[in-house]
Amino acid sequence: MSIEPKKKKINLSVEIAGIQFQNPVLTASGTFGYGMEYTDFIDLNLLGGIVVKGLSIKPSHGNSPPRMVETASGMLNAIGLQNIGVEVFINEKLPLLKKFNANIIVNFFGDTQDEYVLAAERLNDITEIAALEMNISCPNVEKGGMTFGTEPKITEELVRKVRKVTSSPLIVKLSPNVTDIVVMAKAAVNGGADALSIINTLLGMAIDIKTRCPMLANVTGGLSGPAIKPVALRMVWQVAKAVDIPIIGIGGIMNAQDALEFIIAGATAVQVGTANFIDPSISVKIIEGIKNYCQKDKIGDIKDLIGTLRS
Amino acid sequence: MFVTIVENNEISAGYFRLAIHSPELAENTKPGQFIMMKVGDNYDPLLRRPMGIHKISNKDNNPCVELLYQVVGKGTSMMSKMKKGQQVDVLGPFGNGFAIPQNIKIAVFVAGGVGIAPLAMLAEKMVKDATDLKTYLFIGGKSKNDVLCLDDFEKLNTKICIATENGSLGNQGLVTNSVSKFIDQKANGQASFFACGPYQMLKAVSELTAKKNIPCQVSLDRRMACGFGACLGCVVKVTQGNHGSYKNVCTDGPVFDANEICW
Repeated sequence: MSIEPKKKKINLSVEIAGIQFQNPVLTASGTFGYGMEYTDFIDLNLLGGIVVKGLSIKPSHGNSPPRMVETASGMLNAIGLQNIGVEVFINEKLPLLKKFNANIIVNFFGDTQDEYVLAAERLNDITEIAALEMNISCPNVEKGGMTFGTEPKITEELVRKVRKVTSSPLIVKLSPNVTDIVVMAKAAVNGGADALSIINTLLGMAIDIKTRCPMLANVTGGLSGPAIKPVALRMVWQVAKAVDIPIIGIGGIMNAQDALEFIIAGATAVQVGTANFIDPSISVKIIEGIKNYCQKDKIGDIKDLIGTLRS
Repeated sequence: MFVTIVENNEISAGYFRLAIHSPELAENTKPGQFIMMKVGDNYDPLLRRPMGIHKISNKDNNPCVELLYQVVGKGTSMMSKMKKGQQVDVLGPFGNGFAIPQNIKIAVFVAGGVGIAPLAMLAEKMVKDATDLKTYLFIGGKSKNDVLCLDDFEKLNTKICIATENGSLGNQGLVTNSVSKFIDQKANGQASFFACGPYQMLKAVSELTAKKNIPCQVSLDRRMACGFGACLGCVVKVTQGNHGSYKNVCTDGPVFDANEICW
């Protein structure tokens, strides 16, 4: 009796800080709103995870416009962490979002160390929230923000403070605007991080030569998109060699090939950011693309691909 | 979704009318809404371009939507080279569109340059749906080359007032000078204003109408990354709002009550 050759089932699930993800593709904070903005375009159930727009303990208006400008193969933004605040998120957005299979990860930040602690406390022990992602790396806010992510001592101290008040898995999102990303990664690990998101946007600017004015009201902004992918990939690779906790790779991922590069460099999962703006269904296409690659290369389990860079 | 270009013609130096075949968009688009168009198929330019819908039409029995655009940068320059028959990737329709007041008796349209685009569709719909509607168009541009779509309004028996900065057509000066005179002399509570054009023009019209408590809707043009409310890049400062002092031009607009905007 002959047996039909079966398509082997690919295991795309990964584990980060004790949480199971059905696949390694998440959407990046600040590019995916609070999730519901995308329900017209994709089935959120298919995503590995959704990282919501960065929240602070109090709502924030964000920066004056103009807030975004396109650059070569990328974009600069200086949104300034406009958000509805932790409380409104929990009461109004989370009930809608929790109906989906995707893990919900809440990105949060503060203007002061105390505000980080307050936000983490309020978000602690909410069963629908799979993990917290601590933003110590936003380049677009005056106080705090990136400075928390550029001084290793402050990073370690702040992560430790937040660690103490939350039992949720704690992911720390690192800034690329540092001399040595490995130093910052180790500081976050020492503070008690369970995982690292690498990288946030690169600080940049653009000028209108007709008016000689900056293109952004904030003058500088965070560069994202395919322009930053090589930098992000290099940083993920460097950190993956140096620390033992899982890394979520972020930076200019536009398709499955980009995502696979990050996984081979050592990322356990990836976040798709700017690409969502151009094709709001891209994350699902990337999941399919990863599956096809595994099928073709006879990789039965995506975990077998993580950090397999050959010399 | 991918749609086919059925026409892309230069109608005045630097201004193009592009028609795409799409029964879906033709069926579902309201005046004042926009689509997000991918220009080129690589990463530069990276983002889609927000393009206001100019008209809904029928070409050889194909339901189409038309865009009217001015070549101002890399994206629109690439658009101007797109050919009939070419496929183009669009999302939409997005945005709120104009709110058409019930039993409106006098509609006044104010357009600056390519700002005429959404007003042409709005005027056509309003005239079609209303009985006994009087329409006025105040249209301005740098020169006569920038004054577009007059024939669309002539068809509607609209009273047209033209102003150009160099005096090559109509009155010399800004269109808002003519609007100001009109408001002083003729406009009253029965009139509603609908404006689209440069920011300074919209601001001036907003101030003129506010003085006499005349309702005025403005359609804003902003750089956008997504077009559907996720990026928060296109915001405008408003006098009050649910989520703070900014509103999204893409999802809360692009059409706003003029008195809602912090000019």
